[in-house]
Amino acid sequence: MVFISATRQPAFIVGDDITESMVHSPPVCLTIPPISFSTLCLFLMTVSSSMTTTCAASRHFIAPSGRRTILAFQVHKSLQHSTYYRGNEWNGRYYSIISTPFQAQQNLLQSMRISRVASNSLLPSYPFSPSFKQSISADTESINVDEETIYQEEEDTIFALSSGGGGASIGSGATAVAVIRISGPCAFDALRELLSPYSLENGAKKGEEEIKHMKIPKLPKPRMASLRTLYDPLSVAKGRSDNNKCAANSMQERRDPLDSALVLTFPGPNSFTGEDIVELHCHGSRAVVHGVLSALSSLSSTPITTTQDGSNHPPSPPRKLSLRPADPGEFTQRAYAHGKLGLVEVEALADLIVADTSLQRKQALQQFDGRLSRLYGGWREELIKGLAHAEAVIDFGDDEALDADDDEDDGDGNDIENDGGMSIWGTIRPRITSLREAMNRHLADASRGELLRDGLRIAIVGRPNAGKSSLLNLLAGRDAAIVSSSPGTTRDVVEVMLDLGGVRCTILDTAGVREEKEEGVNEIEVEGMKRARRAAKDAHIIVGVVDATDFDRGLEAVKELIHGNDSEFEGELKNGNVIYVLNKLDLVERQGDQSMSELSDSVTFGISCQTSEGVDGFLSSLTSQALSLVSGSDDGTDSTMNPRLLTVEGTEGAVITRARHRRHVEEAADALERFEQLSGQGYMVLDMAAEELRLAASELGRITGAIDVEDVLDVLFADFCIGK
Amino acid sequence: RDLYKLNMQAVLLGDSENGLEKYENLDVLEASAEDLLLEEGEGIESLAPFADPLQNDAASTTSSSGEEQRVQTAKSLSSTAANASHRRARIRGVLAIDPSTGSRLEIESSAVVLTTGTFLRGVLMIGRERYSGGRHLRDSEEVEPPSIGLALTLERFGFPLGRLKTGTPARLDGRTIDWDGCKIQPSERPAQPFSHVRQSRGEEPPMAAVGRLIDCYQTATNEATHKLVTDYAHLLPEYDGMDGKGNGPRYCPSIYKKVERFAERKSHNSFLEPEGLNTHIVYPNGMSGPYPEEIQLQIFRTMKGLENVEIIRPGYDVEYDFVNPRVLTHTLETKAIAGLYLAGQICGTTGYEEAGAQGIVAGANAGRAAGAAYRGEEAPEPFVLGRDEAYIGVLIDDLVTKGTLEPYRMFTSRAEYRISLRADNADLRLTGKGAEYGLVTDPERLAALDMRETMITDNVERLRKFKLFVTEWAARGGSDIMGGDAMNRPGRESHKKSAEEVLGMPHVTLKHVEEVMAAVHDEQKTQQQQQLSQNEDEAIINNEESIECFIPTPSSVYDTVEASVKYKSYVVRQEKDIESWRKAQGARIPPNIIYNHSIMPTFSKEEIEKLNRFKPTTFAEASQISGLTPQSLVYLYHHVMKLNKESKRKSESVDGAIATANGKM
Repeated sequence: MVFISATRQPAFIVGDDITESMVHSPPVCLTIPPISFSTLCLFLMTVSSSMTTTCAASRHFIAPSGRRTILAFQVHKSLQHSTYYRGNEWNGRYYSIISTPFQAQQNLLQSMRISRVASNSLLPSYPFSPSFKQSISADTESINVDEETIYQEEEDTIFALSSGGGGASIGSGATAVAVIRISGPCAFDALRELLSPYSLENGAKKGEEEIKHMKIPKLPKPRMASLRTLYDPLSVAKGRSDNNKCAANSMQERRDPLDSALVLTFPGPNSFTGEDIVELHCHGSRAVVHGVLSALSSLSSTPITTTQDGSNHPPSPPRKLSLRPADPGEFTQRAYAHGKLGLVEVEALADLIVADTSLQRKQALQQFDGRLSRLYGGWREELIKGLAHAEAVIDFGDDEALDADDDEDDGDGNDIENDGGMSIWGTIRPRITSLREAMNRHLADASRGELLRDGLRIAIVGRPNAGKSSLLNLLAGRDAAIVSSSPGTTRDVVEVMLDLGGVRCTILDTAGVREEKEEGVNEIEVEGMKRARRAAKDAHIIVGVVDATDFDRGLEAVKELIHGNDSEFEGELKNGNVIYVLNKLDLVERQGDQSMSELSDSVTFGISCQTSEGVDGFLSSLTSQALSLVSGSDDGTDSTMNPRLLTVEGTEGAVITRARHRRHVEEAADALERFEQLSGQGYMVLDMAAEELRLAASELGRITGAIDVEDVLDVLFADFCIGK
Repeated sequence: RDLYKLNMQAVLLGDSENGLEKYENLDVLEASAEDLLLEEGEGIESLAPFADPLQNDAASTTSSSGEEQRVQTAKSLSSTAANASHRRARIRGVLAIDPSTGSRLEIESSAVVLTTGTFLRGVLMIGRERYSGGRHLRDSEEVEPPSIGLALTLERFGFPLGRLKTGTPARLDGRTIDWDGCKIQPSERPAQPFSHVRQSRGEEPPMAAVGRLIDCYQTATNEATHKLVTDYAHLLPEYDGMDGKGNGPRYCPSIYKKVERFAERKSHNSFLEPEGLNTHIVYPNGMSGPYPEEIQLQIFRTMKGLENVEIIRPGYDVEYDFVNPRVLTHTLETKAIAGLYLAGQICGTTGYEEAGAQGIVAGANAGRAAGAAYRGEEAPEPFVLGRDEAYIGVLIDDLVTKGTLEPYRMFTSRAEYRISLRADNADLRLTGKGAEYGLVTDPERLAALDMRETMITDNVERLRKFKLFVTEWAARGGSDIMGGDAMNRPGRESHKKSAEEVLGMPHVTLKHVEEVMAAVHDEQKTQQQQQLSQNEDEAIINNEESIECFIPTPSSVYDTVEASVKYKSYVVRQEKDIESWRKAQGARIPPNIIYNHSIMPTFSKEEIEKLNRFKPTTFAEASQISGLTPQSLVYLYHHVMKLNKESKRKSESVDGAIATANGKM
C-alpha cells in the first residue's frame, strides 16, 4: 500500500511500500485523469542507510483536457556510483512529487491513484475503470489501490499535415494533393476508424458476432497505395444527438464521407519513424484537409476496437486512441529516437522539409541519402591512415625499418637503411595534402551550399521613379509594390520570393536614392534610402535600374550606391554581380545605345516595364547569374581540376551545408596545414606534427563520431610489419 | 642480464661483501604459491578502498567532526561503494609450498599482490607438443611448474578468466654465428643513463663508463626462410584462444604471422642481441615461432650469418590465464577479494614495462594499506596516477575501465596528453608525488629533482628574458635556421623576439639559440670590461655579475628545457582543451536519469546495461565506458540537454518550488 500525504510544497509521497523488493522490478504507475495543469515534474528519490535508490520520471506532461496522463516510473537501484548521492542522504526513505501550480498539485494528489504492475512489464494497457472514475472525487487521505487501474505508458500517436501549404497550419494556398501523416502505436487503429462507414464504438458493445457483420475495415496492404473513402466520425455523433431514437434502434448510423483518398500504411519498425505510419493522400482543398485533421483530433480517446485477425491473442482489453497533432519536427525526432537517422541525416531532413525550390531539395536529398556521410567517412578513413603512419613512426620508427612503401623497395630489401621511418612519413604527406585540399575545396563549396539553402538576395536599386517597383511587380507577376508616377513612392524595402531556375531568391525593392538636398525629400525618405543602402550591401546580386530618360543621373546614383564612400563594398561585391537595367526604353528613341557602352564591364539590359520589352532577356541573364553563384561552375575550384584527389565514390556534389560541420572541417583543415608545415621539418618536430594530425582527427570526429585509438592501431598493425 | 639480477639481489637481500645492508623490512622467500588464504563472508571491507574524490566531497559536506566523517566515509564505502556488492572475501595470506622440502607454508598477510606472469595454468608449446609449465629455464632443460590452484581459487570467486599467449624465440649460441655476415648495430654513445639521479650527476651508465658496451647485429630472413616458415606451418601448435589461433600481442607477431600477413615482403629484419656480458647466448629478435626444434634450426640456418648456428634452447609459446582487469579498481585491488592486488600479465598486459608499471602501483597501494593496518591506522589514501600525469595512469585507467581483449601494450598514441608525458620530465611529473606518498625517500633523488627544477626554471626564464631584433637573430644564427623569410620580412626590423620565441620555431635547437646568446653575452662582457677599466670605482660593485661567463644549459636539463619551450603552445592548448571539456561537463548527467529502451531506443542492450551499472555522473565518465559508441554519447548528450531545458522551463514556472525541494534534498 502506498500512502500519499500532501502537506506543503513540495508534497511528499511517503512510500513504506516502495522498498528494496521493488528495486529493479515493477514499474510504478500513477494515472492521472484529465486535470488542468500545464506542467508536472515528478522526481522521486529514496535513500536508506543500506542502499541508495534513485529514480525519476520526467517527461512531457502537457495534458489538454480530454487526455489522460500516465506517469510511470521504475525504481532502480544504482549499483556503482551510488555514493555520489550521499549528499542527499536522509534517514528515512522519501519520495517527493513536485508539481505546479499548487492547486494543480492538489488536484493531482486528489485524483491520483497509485498501483503497482506485476513484474511483467509487457502487460497490456487498461482503460479507466468505472470505479476509478467515481473515486476521482474520493478522499485524499485514504487512497485505495484499485488493481484494475493498471496502466502502461505508451507513446502518443501523432498526426500532421505533412505536405506543403504553409507548414503546420493549414495554409492559404490550396494544393492538388495534401498528405496527412499519422505515426504511432494507434496509427492503424485511427485509420480503421476513418475507413469505417459506421461507428465502431457502438459495434463493440454489441458483441463479437455483430462486429463480424459490420466488417471492421481491412487495412490496405503495407506499402501499397489503395484508394479508400474516408468517413467522418464526427458526423455520427451529430446524427445521434439529433435523433437519439434512431441511433438506438437502427444498427448503425452511416457516417458522412470525408474524402476519397489514397491510403498508404507502413508498419513499424520498417517505416520512417520506426513506428506504424499511415499516410493519407487527400485532396488538397482546405475543407478536406481541415475535415480530416479535425476528424483525427476528434478520435482522441475513442476506445479502440480490436481487430479480428489477431484471433490467436487473448482478447485484449479495449484501449483508447491517444492522438494529438504533432509538434514541429516531431516525426523526425521520433525517427531519430528510433535509430532511423543519424545526426547528419536529421540535419539534412530539416533542410529537406523547408526546401523551397528544386535545387534546395536536391541538395538536401544528397545529404539525406548519406552522400555527405560518405564524404566525411572517406576523410575519416584517410585521416586514420595518416595517423596510423604517424604513430608507427613515433612508436616504432627507432626499432623497425618501416618500408611500407613498396614502390621504393626494389627487391633489395636488405639494404634498407633504418632512417627512423622517415621515408613513410614522406609518403603520407602528399596524402594529407590532398586530404586538406579536398577539405578546402568543400569548404569553398560550402559557402555555395549555404547560399543555396538560405537563398540569394537580389536588391533592385536606383534613383527614385526609375521603375524599380514596376520591375519588381513584373518579376513577381503581381502587384507586390505600389507603383505611382510620383518619385519616392517606395519607402521601405519590399521583399518578394522568387524561384529563379530552382534557386530561391529574395528580390528586394528598395527606396530610390537621391541627394538628400533635393527637393521634396523628407525624413521618411531619408530613412528609406538608408535601408536601401543596407539592402544593397547585403545583396548577392544588385540590379541597378536606370531611367533611360535620365541616364547620367541615374547611373551615377547606382554607382554611388554600389561603390559609394563605403569601402566595405569593394571587396564583397564583384562587378559581375551587378546588372544594369536601362528602363523606360519605350520613352527614348534608342539614344541610350552609345551611353550604354560606358557600362561595358557590367551586364546591361535595356527594357521597358511598360511594354515588357527586353524583360525576358534580363530575366534569363539574372537566372544564369543566380545559378552560377550557387553552382560555382565558373570559379575555377571545380573538382575536375585535380581528379586524383580523394576519390571517394559517390561523393560528387556533396556540399557542407551546416555551420557546425563547417567549423569542424575548417579546424581540421587548419590543423592539417600546420601538419604539412611541421612534417617538412624533419624528425625533430615529428611529435608536434602528429599532434596536429590528432587534432584534425578529433575535429572531424565531432562530425562523424570519434576516432578511437583502436581504429588507428588496427590500421597500423594491418599496414606495417612490426614485431619484436 | 645476469649482472642486473646479481646487483638487484644484492640491493634487496644485502651483500656483506660489498657492505650492502639487507633491505629494511624485506624478507625474500622462494616458494611456489599454491593458493590464497581467505576470510570469507559478508561485510568485508577493503583496507584501502578506492575512493573517488567526489565521495570524499560528499562525506565532508555531510558531517562536520573529523571522527564522525571517518566513520561516515568508512560506512558509506562499506555499505554502498562500488565494490560492496562484489566483495566476498578478505585476504588472510598465502599458502606456499617449499620447493626443497615440499612442506606447506602459511604466510599471513593483510595484503597480497598476485603477479603470476605466464604461470597461471600455463601451457608451453613447441610444435604440436604441449606440456604444463610457466616458463623454461633459460639454460637448462628444466621447466618451472604452472600455478593451477590459484587459477581455481580465482575461478571460484567469479573472476572472469581468459587465455592469452605469447612466445619467445630460440636462444642461439653466439659462438656459432658468423658475425661478419651481419650488419653491426653499435650501441648509442654517449649512453644516456636511465636514472635521473645519474643524469643529474652527469654520469654514464656504469658499463658504458668502463667501456664494456657490446654491439648488436642485424640479419634478415629471405625467401628460403619464408618457404620453410610456410611449409611447416601445419606443425605449429594449436591454442585455446581465438579458435585455435591463439590470442597474442599484435605488435610482436611470430615469424609465421609476419610472413603470412605480409606475403609480398621478401625479407624481414632480425636483430641478434647478446644476452649479457658474460654469456654467449644470443636472442634473435623478431624470430619467435614455436616450430619443432629441428625446423627452427633449419629456419635459422637459411639466414645470413646463421648458416652454421646452433640452438641452445628452442623457442616456444606459452598460453596462460589472465583476469579481465575490469574487476579491479584503480589501485589494482580486486573488487571481489579485499586486500588482493593483481599486477602484470595476469591483468592482460604484455610482460614488459606494462607489468613493471602495474607492480609499482599495486605494490605501493598494497604496502601502504598493509602498513596502515598493521599500525592500526586508518585506511591510507589510494595511490593513483591520472591519465594526464603518467602513462601508468593511462595504462591502468584503460585496463580497469575498458578491459582488454589482447595482451595490452602501451603505445604513446593511447595517451591524450602525449606532449606532456615525456621521458625527460618523468621525474618532474612523478618524483614529487612519489615522495608525498612515502614511496620516494632517497634524499639524493629528491635533491636531484630540486636541482633540476631550479635549473629548468632558471634556464627557461633566461630564454624568455633574452631579446634581440629579429634581423639580428637572423644575422647571427643564419637566416635559414632562424626563421628565414619571416625574420627578414620588410617592416619587421624593429621587431624584437625573445630567445624563447625563436626556439619555438621548428628548425631551431636550444644549442643554436644559446650559441647566439653566448656570443652576445661575450660582446657585452667585453664592453663592460672596457668600461670597467675606464672607471674602476663603479665596476667594483657590479664586479661579480659582469665577470660571469655564459653557461649553456647543462645536459642534465637540456632536453626538458628545450621541450618545455618547444611544446609550450601544445601544452597550453591541451590545457585549454581540458578546460573546455570541464566546462562542457557543466552538462553533468543528472543522477536521476533513467536508462531504458523506451527512452533510448537506439542504445544497445549492452549500453543500457552498462549505463545503469556505472551510472556516470559526467560525460567524461560516460565516454570512458567501453562499448558506448560516440553516437550514443551524442544522443545521451542531447537527451540530457533536453531534460535540462525541460526542467529549466519547469523551474521557471514553478518559481522556486523546485529550488526549495532541491535544497531540502
